[in-house]
Amino acid sequence: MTARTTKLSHLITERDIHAYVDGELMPARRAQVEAYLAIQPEDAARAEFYRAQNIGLHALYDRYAVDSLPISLIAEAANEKGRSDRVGRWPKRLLQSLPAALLVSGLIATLAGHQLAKDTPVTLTASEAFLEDANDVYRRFAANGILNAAGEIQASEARRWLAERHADPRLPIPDLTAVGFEATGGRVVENAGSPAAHLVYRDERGRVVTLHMTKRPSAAAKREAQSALTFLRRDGLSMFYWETGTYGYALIGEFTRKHLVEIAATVMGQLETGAEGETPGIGVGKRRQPQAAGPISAVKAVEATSEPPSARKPALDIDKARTAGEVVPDGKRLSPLLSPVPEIRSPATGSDASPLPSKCADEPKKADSVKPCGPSGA
Amino acid sequence: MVDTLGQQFTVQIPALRRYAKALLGNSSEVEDLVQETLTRALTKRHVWDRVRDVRAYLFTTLHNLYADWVGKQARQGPLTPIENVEWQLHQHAEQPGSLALRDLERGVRQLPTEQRQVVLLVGLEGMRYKEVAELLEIPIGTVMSRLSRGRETLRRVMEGEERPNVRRVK
Repeated sequence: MTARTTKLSHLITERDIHAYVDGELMPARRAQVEAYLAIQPEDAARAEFYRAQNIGLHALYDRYAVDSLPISLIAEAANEKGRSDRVGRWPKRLLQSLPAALLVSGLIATLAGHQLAKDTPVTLTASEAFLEDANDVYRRFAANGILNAAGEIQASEARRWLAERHADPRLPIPDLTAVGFEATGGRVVENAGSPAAHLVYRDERGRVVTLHMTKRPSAAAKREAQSALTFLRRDGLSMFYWETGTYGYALIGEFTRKHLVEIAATVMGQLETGAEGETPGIGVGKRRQPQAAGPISAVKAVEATSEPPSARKPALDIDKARTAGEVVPDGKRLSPLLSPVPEIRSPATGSDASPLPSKCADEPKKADSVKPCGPSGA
Repeated sequence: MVDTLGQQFTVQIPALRRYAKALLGNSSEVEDLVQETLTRALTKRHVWDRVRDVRAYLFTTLHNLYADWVGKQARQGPLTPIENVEWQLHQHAEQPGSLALRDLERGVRQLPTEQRQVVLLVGLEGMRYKEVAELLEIPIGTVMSRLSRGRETLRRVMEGEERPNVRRVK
């Protein structure tokens, strides 16, 4: 042993090795420990083992890191909150129905921009809310290291959960092997007040793309009967959102726009197939308006020369979005769809949502000026 | 964007549940414990403005409720400790690399609660030593020694030095 080794061996303690593994050391000390481990393979192996233990803990226990909340309670709490006449006073039943109430408080804050209008029913279904939540879920799981651990449950299990939680069990799990991704897991999460399947796909390089699928509450489907196609890019994340009648989907990953759109096209192709087969829930809803009349698809936002033909052929829309999108710098919203969706209410019935008047849906819109559309005007 | 406290709480729910189940097992009692923790947190909204660290607040509440619960069980008569029952019910047949993971889980189960807490808070929840010390109200040196002992036990279990009589084979 060299003098240097001996000296280091005296200096480096058991605790240092743990602190090294846990990233608790100051840079100078860290360098010393690294130097020590470089010449002490046994201790280096031990440090590696401790690190592997941490990964193993995630593999074992990340499956429990879910927001599993009874949906009925969420709806109830949302209604309570919507009816409550004073902000800040929590109905007794709401207090008892925790953590639904807790979740709803978070949702409300998100949706209403931290400000709940006194008599406005909670809109849990806006496209923006959906995408924001999907993004949130992605980041939360990424932050907790879950996306990087092996602890994801099987996709089939996600489907079972979805069924158990009163979501539509017929939602297929799209097969993305054609574009190089395999479903490695999924979980059920809350998204804008609805249960959403959060599916995780990986390619052979370990890159992750997540797909959120959720059934939109029928009130929202009525209110926002149009289809929507939205691309967002923010902080290196690409997000693609679309709806088919009563379903909403969000695809999120650290990919280029072009790549993500390719993946989205694959997903859409399969969902379309499913809609014509034994999964009627996924098809185009009765109330669906033609895509051309829809609110501001990504295509329209950049003044596409021709109207998208029909929402039944979303792949075409995607092609245009792909071309169109290159102009739009990162972080900028391509589509004003994600602006808060104005509450459409008929004055007589109050909170009861009425479908959009068709003349309203036909009005052309510009990307930077979204006006509330409906009888109430504002 | 500044999150409201409500949002911060909401964001912590998955981690809280994960920690509770890793520490105590996956049972309906533990789920109740998680729910109760969240309920407490919400009903005490008036103290929220004094809460500096939402995660620590929730985890502390969980620990306290668990201590109460254990005390109550003790007063009500002899019951099998929750971890003993629950861990037996816990199957991981479908786990990838299941042998190593089973060993790890068995090791976690064998750890004394005080070591298991530290190993999980650091290794699973990614807390800093200082945070763990504050959360558990113990000196940071104690955090490190519990961590060191706990991990060493796990390593020995996983490397087969502390193997039980019967080994389950898939």
